[in-house]
Amino acid sequence: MATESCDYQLAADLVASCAVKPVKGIKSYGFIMNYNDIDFEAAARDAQNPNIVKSLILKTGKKAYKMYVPGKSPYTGTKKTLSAGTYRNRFNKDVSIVILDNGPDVSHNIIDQLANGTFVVVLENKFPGSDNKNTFEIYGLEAGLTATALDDDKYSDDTEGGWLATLQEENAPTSGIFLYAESLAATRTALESLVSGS
Amino acid sequence: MRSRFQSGFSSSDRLLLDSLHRKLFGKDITKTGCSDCYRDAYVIIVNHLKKTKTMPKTPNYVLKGGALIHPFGTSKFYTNPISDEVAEEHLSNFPDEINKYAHYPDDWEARAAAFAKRKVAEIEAKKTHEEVEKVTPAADNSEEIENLKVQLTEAQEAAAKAELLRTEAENKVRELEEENTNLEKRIEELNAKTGNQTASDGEGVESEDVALLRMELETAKADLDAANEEIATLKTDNRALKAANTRLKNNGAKDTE
Repeated sequence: MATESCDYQLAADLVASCAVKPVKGIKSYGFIMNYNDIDFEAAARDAQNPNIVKSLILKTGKKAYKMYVPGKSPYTGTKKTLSAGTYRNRFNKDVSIVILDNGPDVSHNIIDQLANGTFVVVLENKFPGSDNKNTFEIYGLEAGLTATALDDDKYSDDTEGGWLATLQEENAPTSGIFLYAESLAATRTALESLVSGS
Repeated sequence: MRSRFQSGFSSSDRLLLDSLHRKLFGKDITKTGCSDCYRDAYVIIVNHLKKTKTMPKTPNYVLKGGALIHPFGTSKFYTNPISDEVAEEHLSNFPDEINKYAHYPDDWEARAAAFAKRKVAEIEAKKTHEEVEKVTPAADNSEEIENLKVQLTEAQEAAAKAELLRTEAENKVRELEEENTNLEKRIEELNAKTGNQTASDGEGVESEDVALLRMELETAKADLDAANEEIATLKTDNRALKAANTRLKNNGAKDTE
């Protein structure tokens, strides 16, 4: 086994974009898919920046599902935090999803699956960055998102009696993974085709 | 699936309905968050299939979900449904990306190679065509040729007209020469008669008839001279027209070459 020493060195100035001002938050539409449905062999990362995924591809016959959370601050609670390790630090990524429904279909097709499955979520940041590459962020691509909380508070004003699901990707080695396929339009087309499946 | 219409479709039923809806109508079921949406889609699909009585054909190439094809040198992106041509062009350039396809024909490699061959042949044919276009005169030259051809036709018509005039003039000259000969004979005859008359009368005065004949003779001579001059002019014009005709014919032959 070849030995390699990782060289953790900064490679850019710590600056803020003055031209395109950052905006906090996430947009209402997102995508969720089963972790095991992802065809990791067919997926490709950017050669220059491995934190950019150029193509996120699903296995034959599999598809992604759309998510929609209304309101001015959808997916509230979605965050990334450092997870201190003994030798190396990693990141925990949390995604909060509200499902404003509580019927048998939701219970059977979504909640029961979320409780035990592993998932990948793509969310659209309100701040696209100067080159649009910040637009779509992927959560759970490395370690997979699993449910840490699934709450159905019948008297909750926030969820209107629906479900609040919190998924977490624990100890992900990368702080952020973004989906960008040559252009923003192409990325959106690719995301739509995730939903269409094969 | 019909038996589960009331109780609710299973997840595999829903996948099948999704797939059929896409194949038949080229789009996803609009709302999928409720069980009625799939029931509606089921009814729409069944009605459509009853009407058309044909199941949708499965395309030769089907991309996996999320896979995107971007042909080199274009700004187009393709997802499902994808045409054979686009898929084979992509695979001829990137055979390693066969893993982007969910379904593909067994002989996809041969198809991609055939496509590449066709493409090369097309490029070569295009190159040859461009070279031929470079060698042959451009549109402006062809216009010039057309003009020269028109000029040549006009010159040929003028030459034919001149030839006709020349023939007419020659005929006229002949007629005038004959008339001249006749007139000279008549003058001689009249002179002879006048001589005899003078000798018999002893007066030496020409009669009115003789004077008229002399005038007629002078007029005929003047006509003859004019005809001769006209002949000379026509001959000169004819020579010039023949020379011009020859030049134009030579130019036309060169341009056609």
